Order: sequence, then structure tokens, then C-alpha cells
Amino acid sequence: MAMSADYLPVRVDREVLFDEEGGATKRPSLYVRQGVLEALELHGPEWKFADASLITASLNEPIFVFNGLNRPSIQEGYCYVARPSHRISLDGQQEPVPHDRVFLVFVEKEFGLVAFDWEWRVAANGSGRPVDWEIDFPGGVKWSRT
Amino acid sequence: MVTYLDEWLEDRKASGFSAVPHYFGDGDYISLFLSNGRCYAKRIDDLLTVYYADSTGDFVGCKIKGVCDLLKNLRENFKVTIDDGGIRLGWLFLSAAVRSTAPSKEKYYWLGEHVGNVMMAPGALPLAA
Repeated sequence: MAMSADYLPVRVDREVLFDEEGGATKRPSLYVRQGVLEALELHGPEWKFADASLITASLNEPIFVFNGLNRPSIQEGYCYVARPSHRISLDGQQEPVPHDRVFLVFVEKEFGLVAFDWEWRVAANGSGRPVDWEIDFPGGVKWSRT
Repeated sequence: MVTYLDEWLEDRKASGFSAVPHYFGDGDYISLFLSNGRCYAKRIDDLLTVYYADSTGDFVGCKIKGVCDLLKNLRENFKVTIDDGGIRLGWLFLSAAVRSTAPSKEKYYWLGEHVGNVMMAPGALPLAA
């Protein structure tokens, strides 16, 4: 599939799954569709648009990547799980992330990896894995920081 | 010149909030948020994720996945078509419910009762699904 100009590349130092280096001289391998961001910018919710700023760090430094999204229409997909320390509150200030939350970014493999959604979930027992991860991601852990 | 995500986001802020459903072709899903407040997600099954408010734990929205398949199911098995792209979310909950099992089936009925009347704007859905 050809890459559309409608996709914004994500700045990566090294893509953890495929061990690809990023940087200005390399073709980026991670993207977000601009239309998704524009819809959120216009209609909200405001936290979700603000949290798009967490995507770059989350894709660069996940704590887990789960294999397969277990949903229709996605042939090859991954879930990057990160634990940012802060996020932006609705009044524009930085606020700490509750200790029992993890940030999930869902990506589909197309011309590169395209992030199409992101959300917060409750973490399982401080492990950094989201609760019910064994059910939600039957493909298991594809990559882990440790 | 390439514009990276972090550059594009610089100095941008969401301009408001509207509690209306949106279809996203990448990922083939509809999301509905009834509140602008922060929330967390709980996956119910392969077709449904539900959002609960951080502050109260109340239901504040949902995500319906596999929308093309759900529309195809409605069209082929129930003769429900969407000529103008508009559809009540209740039809999608019904389409998902008939192929789900308990306990997620009950969640579809609950959603049908509470947000089934919410309309997708005409033209928002893939008619060719």
C-alpha cells in the first residue's frame, strides 16, 4: 500500500519491533493518520487530542508490545503499552498519571506501522500489563523492555 | 518537507467537545464519548470497548469495532441498509449481539437501551461495506 500524504510520521530513534533505525536520513516507519487527529481536534474529547502528544514517546519506549489485536478488519496489528509519568490536564497543566493506569497505542501494519487509536487502561497488579491482557491480546507479548 | 507528529501537534489544542459518534476508517471503528472528562477503557470483546469516567467510574462512552462486518451482517441477514450513511447505533449493537455470547451479549442490550438511539451522521459510514 502506498503511503498517503495524509499520514504524519512519528519521530523514532529505533523501532523496537523491527529494529529499524529512524532519524532524518531514514524513511520513517511509524505514522498517525492526520484525519484522526483533526477529528479529535474539532470534536474532542480534549484529553484524547492532548494525549496524542504521548504517542511518540510511547512508540519509542514501550514497556510491552502485544501481538495481534483480536479484532475484525485488522490483519496484522500490535498494541504498544507505555507508562508515561505525566499527561496534560484539561486546563493545560501537566498532571501525574494515576499509578494504576497504562497508555495503549494500537497500530496496524500497512506501508509502515500506522497508529489508529490510543486509550488508557487499568494496569494489572503493577506489572505494566493492562488487565485482561491474556484475553485481549491472545497473540501474547511480542516485545518487552525487560 | 516532512512534518512529524510532534511538530504538527505543537501549539494545537482541541477546540471543543461534542458528544457525537465518529467513524474512523483506519481501524474500522466508531467511537462515542458522552463526556469530555478523562476516562479509562475496558475491552468487552473483539467488537466492543467501553469507557468509564476516571472520576466516578460511570459509563461515558464506547468503541464499536469491525463496523464494516457489522454493516454487512445487517445488510445480508436482516436486510437493513443505510442509503444515506446514517444509522442508529442500536442497529450495530444488535448486529454485534447476535454473534456474541454472555456476558458481552448483555452489555450490547444495555448499550442498545442507553445509547441505541444515537445517530451516526449521514455520510459518515462506508456505504460499500
